Amino acid sequence: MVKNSKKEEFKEAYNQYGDAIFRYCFYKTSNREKSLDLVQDTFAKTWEYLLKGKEIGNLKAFLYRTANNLIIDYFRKKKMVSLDELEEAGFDPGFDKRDQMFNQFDGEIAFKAVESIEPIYKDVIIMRYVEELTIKEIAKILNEKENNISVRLHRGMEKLRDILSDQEKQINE
Amino acid sequence: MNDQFKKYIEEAQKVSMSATEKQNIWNFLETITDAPVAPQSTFTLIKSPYIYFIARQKVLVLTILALFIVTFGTSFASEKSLPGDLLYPFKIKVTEKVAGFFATTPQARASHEAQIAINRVEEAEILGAEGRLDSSTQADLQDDFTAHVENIHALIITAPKGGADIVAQDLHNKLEIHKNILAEIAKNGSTGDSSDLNALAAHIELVINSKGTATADADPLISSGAEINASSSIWTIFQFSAVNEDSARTRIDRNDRRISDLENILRSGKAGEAATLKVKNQITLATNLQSEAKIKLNEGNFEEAFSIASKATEILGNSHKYLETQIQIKPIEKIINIKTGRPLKVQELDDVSTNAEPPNVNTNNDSSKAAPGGGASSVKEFNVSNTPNVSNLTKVEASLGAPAPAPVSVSIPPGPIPPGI
Repeated sequence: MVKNSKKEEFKEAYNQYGDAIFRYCFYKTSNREKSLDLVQDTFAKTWEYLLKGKEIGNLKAFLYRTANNLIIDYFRKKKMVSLDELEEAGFDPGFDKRDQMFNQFDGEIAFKAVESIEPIYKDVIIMRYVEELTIKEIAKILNEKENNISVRLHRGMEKLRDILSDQEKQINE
Repeated sequence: MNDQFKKYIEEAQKVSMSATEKQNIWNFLETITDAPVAPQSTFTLIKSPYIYFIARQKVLVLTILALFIVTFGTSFASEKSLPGDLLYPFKIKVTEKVAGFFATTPQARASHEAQIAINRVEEAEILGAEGRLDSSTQADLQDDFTAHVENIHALIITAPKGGADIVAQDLHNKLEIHKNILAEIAKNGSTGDSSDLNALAAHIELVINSKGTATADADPLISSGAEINASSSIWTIFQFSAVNEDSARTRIDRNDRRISDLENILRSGKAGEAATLKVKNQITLATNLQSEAKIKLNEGNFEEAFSIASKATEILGNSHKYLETQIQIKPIEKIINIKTGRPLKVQELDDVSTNAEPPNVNTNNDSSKAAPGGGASSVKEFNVSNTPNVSNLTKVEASLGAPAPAPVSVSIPPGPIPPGI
């Protein structure tokens, strides 16, 4: 009975946060297939954790944090194999498909602006405005102080504003 | 900027899994959620075998530590215990014996024995002051005291240059003090019967007053340690143990065994005709002395019986040593405990110093004949050759009739005869 109730909660969590976790993974890895694997692993590990009888205070933050750790592991493993070796083995890295998702007239400029800023600012901007996580949740996922997250978000938005202003000026001219 | 950014967010939030992808992942997750709970053992880490070693080592260390604490705690607590106390047997049988293990030199061992002897006297003092000293306890303490004094005696015999005589002098000085303390307690401090205290004080008085009365003939083996000052207080301490029926009987019995041993050696035929003849004569002489000693024993004259038996002991000892020079037999000190007469244990064999020179005593048969009629007031004459540099063979042959160095005549004044050997 306990297991069944946990399964229901788990399914609800998957339906509620599955897409968000996928999106987060996709923005970090730029690889759709890998992002799907990461989503699957994230939820599988969360289930194992629940089965051990451990309590999870904030499930949303827990899922993001698990996904974040798996992404870090993924990049560590990826670093160990050079691109040349992968290509020789017949691997096609393809290209970044994220730009295809944006209508050139609707969000292309902003997309390029976000991509151009440093990752530490980009990550918190995406988490705060795209994923709609609170400052507290972001701090918990990234294991940082809330003040640091606020400062990063503020500085990231200033940089984004400057870049977008410059681009608007160029378009108008 | 705002419009662009809003459009970016709206577009970004549209990124999602397709329905098929989402369902596929859930199908996989469902296999996990529906699976039976894995047995606990699946996740049990395999323990390193070194864990057991470390665990055992910890247990061993803790056990040793606990034993150490318990033993030394009990030992410390037992130090002040008195006869009749719960920890007193532990003090006697463990604490004092363990302390003796660390005394390796003759002087250290003598010092240890002296300390135990003094402990017995001090215990008697405390019990006496508290009125708890009865006759039985007094006798026990006195016996133990005597035993440890005899141990100092044995140490001087086996290692005359070991410094045990210095310890004996120190013990003598301490006994002077304790004699006065005992007398004082008996007079003023005792809350009970002071007769036992007086008995012990009298014993100590005997030791102190008899200083210098002992002589080199106290025992032939002692006389072999020529470097020892004969007037040293250790001689007086030996006399603490007065000769009694047991000591005389023991000496006579031991001589009988020695006679039997010598006869067995002669029967083996290894000694040769000349040596066999010489030793047979000496056995006859010793046998006669033994008969005489037994008569004195039956008459109740234990001191005389002991004295005569001691001469037989001396003759038998010399004969044995003579045989040692003729055939390869074990030295007598190495097969018989000179104190108890029983065969030595392996550990005791190591303790017997070979430095102890054999006695070079030329027994005067006439004097031995004169002894029985001498009584307590008679002066016994005994020829002692005080020449430690003479070889064993020369000395033994001299004692068996061969020409010997000029003997030194020593007069033995009357007094208690040292026991034990």
